Amino acid sequence: MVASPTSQDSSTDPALINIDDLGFSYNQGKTETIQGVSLHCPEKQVTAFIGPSGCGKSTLLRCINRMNDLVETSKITRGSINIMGQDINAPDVDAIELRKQVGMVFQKYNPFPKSIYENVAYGLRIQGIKNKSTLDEAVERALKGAALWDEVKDRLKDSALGLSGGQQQRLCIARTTAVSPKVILMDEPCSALDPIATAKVEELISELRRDFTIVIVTHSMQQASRISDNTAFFYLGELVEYGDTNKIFSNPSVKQTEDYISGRFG
Amino acid sequence: MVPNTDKHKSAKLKQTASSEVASKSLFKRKRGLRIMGLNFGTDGLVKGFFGGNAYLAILFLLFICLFLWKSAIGFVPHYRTELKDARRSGIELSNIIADETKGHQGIYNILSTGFVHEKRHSFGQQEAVIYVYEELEALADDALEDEIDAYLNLDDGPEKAAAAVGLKAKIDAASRAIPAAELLDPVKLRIESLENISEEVLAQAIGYAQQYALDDYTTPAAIAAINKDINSQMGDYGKALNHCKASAKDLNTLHEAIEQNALATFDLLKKNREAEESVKTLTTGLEKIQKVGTSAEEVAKRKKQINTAESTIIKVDTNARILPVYALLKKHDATVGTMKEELRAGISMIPVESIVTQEAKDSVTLANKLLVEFDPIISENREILKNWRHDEELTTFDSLKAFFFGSVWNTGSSRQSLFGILPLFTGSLLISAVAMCFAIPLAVGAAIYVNQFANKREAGILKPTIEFIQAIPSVVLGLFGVLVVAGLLKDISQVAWLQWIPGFPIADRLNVLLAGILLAFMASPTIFTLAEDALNNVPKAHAEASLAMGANKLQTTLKVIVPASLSGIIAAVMLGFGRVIGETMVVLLVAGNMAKMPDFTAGFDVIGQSVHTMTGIIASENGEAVPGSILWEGLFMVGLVLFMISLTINSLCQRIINRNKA
Repeated sequence: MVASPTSQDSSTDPALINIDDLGFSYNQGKTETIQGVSLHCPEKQVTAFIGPSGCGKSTLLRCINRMNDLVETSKITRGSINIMGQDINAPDVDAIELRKQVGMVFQKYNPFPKSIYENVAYGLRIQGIKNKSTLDEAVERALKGAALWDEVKDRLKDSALGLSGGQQQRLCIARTTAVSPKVILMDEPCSALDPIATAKVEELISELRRDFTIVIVTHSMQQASRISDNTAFFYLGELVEYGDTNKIFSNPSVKQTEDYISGRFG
Repeated sequence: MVPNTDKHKSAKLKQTASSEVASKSLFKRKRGLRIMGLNFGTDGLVKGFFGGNAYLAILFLLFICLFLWKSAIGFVPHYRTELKDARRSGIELSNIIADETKGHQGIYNILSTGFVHEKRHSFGQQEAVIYVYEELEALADDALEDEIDAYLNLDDGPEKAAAAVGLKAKIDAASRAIPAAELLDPVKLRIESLENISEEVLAQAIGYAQQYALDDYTTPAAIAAINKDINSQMGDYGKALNHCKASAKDLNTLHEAIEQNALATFDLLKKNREAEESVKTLTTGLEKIQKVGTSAEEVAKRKKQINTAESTIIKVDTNARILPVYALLKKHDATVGTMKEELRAGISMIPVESIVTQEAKDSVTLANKLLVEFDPIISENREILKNWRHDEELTTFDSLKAFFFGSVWNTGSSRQSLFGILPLFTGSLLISAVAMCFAIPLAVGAAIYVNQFANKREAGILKPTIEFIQAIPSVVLGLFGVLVVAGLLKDISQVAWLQWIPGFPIADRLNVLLAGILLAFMASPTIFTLAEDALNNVPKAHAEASLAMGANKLQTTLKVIVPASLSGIIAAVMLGFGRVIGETMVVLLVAGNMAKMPDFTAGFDVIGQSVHTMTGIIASENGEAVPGSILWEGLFMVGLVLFMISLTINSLCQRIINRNKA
C-alpha cells in the first residue's frame, strides 16, 4: 500500500522522492529499523517526519542521501527509494554524486573551522570550481538565500565559529544550498536553537521551499504544523499515517496519530 | 492553658538537645594519631604518601635546575680566563696565522690530488706495480720489524752473527710467504683505489717484493727505474708542485716559532692556575680542620704542603714573554706576501697544456680560484694582526660569544681548550631536520591512513604495531644502524642510477643522513600517536557535513579533517622534534662524532658528512671531565642549552594544544 498526501496539490506537483516498501537494517538484516515504509514527497514542498524517539524517522532521512552507507553493517533489506525516477540504491549510482543533489542539514550546527566564505564555498570548491568571481557570486547568493548576507557581509573572512548558534545553523543551510541541490534533508535543524533563532530558521525554510524540495525531521509538532505541507507520522519503524499537514493535525484518521499529537504518549 | 504550653515548649527543647547530642556523636571526627600537631590518621597517611611523591618529584626537578644553572654559570668566568690566557700568551695570534698556513695547505692538497691522478693515469700499470709492491714491502717489514730492530741493537760479536743467520732464514721464509693468498687479500683491500689489480701486475709486484726481502731489504733496481721514469716525464709538474709546497716554508717557520713561544707561556700560566687552585683547596681544608681542632703536627704537615704548592707558582711576566712574538710578528706581513706570490708562481709553473686528465686540469682551475679568494682573507688578517694586542681586555660577553658562536670544539689538546657550541648545535639541528623530513610524511601519513581510511581490523593491527616501535631500546636501534644500515646506505648511495638523489654518493660511512633516518624511525611513533589523537578529536559532524555535500573521502580528509586538526598535528611534530634533538644513544653511535663545522659549501652533500651533536658530546666527553674543571662546566653549559631548547619546544606545544582546546 502506498500512502500519499491527500492534498489536492499532489496531483499538480509530481512526487520527487518515491519511497516504496523500504526496509532498512543497521545489523546486516537481523532486525529492521524501518519496516516497509512507502511514501511520496512532492516537489517543492516541505514534508515533515514526526514520531517519538527511536521510531526510525532520522534513519529514513539518512537513507534518502545514503548517509547510512557510512555505517558498515547497514543494509537495505527490501524496497527502493526513487529520486526523479532513479533508484538511488542501484549499483551504478554513485553516492557522492547523489549527495550533490540531496543536501543535508544536521541537528547540531556544524560549520567547518574555516572562514564564513570558505564554508559556503566548500561545496563548489570540491566540485573543482576555482574561478573567483563564480565563487563570490555563489557565496553571496547562498548567504542572501539563507537571510544571512546582511549580518555577515563585512566579515566573510572571519571564522564561522564566531557566529551565534542560529547564525551558524543558517550558515550550514547556506552551505548546503550553495551547490543548488534538488532536495534538502533537515534532521531536527532547530533542536539546538533558542526560540528566536528557531523562528528565523523556520522563516527561512518557508522561503526555501520555493526553490527546493525539503524533507524535515522534527520533534516539535508545532513546528511541523507551522512549516510543512505534508506530515508523516512514524511509530516503531513503521509509517502510521501520512497526509496533508492540516488534515493530520486537525483530523487524523488513525487513533495512534491522534494520541501522539494530543500528547497522550510520546 | 499557659502551663500546658510551657510544658510543651520544654519537651520540645529537650528533644532538640538530645538530637543535637546524637548528631555530634554520629558525625564527630575520629581522633587519629597526632604527632607534633599533625594528624596521622589513615587518611592523613595516604594523603601524605601521594602528596609526598608529587612534591619529591618537584624537589628533584628544582635540584637539577639549580645544579645545572650553578655549574653552567661557573663556566662563563672560567672560559674567560682560559681565553684571556690564550690571548696573553699569544696562542690567539698563533691561531690567526695558522688559518693562513691551513689555507695554503688546502690549496696544495688540491693540486697534489690532481697530480696523483695525472700520474696514475699516465703510469697506471707501473704505478700499480709500485703500489702493490710497497704494500707487500710494508707487510714484510711489519712482520719482522721487531726482530730486525733487536738485531740492529746487538753489539758486534758472535751473538750478532748467530742472530744474523737466524734472521736471514726468517726473511727467506717471509719472502716466500708473500704470494700467499691470506697476505694478498689484505693488500688488495688496502689498495681500494686500484680496484681490479690484474694478475700481471700482481705477479710483477710479488716478484719485486720477494726480491726486496731476499736482497736484505734494499729497493729493487726495477722499482727505482720506474720511479725515475715517472719523474722524468712528470718532472716539470712535480717541480711546480714542490715549488708550491715550499712557498709556505718561511711562513710555517714563523708560525712555529710564535706557536712555541706562545705554548710555553700558556703552559706556565696553566700550571700556575692549577697551583693556585691547589693552594686554595689546601688552605680551606686547613681552616676546616683547625676549626674542629687537631694536633699541631697535622697542622704543620698541612702548612708544609701549602708551602710546597706555593713554591711552584712562578711569577709569569706575560708582557716580557710576549716581546719575541711581537718581534716575529713584524716579519709576518712580508712573509705572507712572499708565500702568496710564490704559491702563485708555483701554480703558473704547472705545464697545463701537457696535462691529460680532466681531474688534474680541474684541480689547477680550482686552485687558481681559491688563490683569488685567499687574497681578501690575507689582507683582513693583516689588518687584525696590526691591531692585535696581547693585553686587550676580554669581557664576560666575549666569553659568552665565544661559546655560542665559536665554530671549534676542541677540549683534549695541550693548547687552550675551545668550547664553541656552534658545530654541535648545527650538527644536532641538521640531524633533526633530516629526521623530520622523513618522520613527518611517514608518521602523519600513517596517522591519516589509520584514522581515516583503514578499516577496523587493519587499524587494529597497524596502530599497536607502529606504537610498538617505541619499545625498541635506542641503543639497539643505534647498534643496528652502525652495523647494518650504515654499510647498506653507503652501498646504495653508490649505485649509478640513484645518483640523481640529492646528497648521493655520501662521503662518510657514519653521517647525518644515517642518523636522520634512524631518528625519524624513533620519532615516528610519538608523532603518529599524537597526530592520530588530533585527527580523532575532530568532531565526526565535520566529516558528516562534508560527505553530505558530496565530497569524497579524500577531499573530506584533506580539506576538512586535516586542517581542523592541524594545530594538534603541528604539536605532535614539534614533540617529535623535541624527542629527536634530545636523543643521545643513536646519534652517539651513528653520527660519526666529528666535532667540526659541517661544510655547507658542499650543498646538499652536507647530509653525507660526519657531525657531532650536543647530546653526543656530553655522553662522549663526560668521562674525562674532572669535577669543577672547565670541561665539566662546559658540558653542563651544553646541557643547559639543550634543556632550554626542550623547554621551549614543550611549552610551545602546550600553548598550541591549549589554544586548540579553548
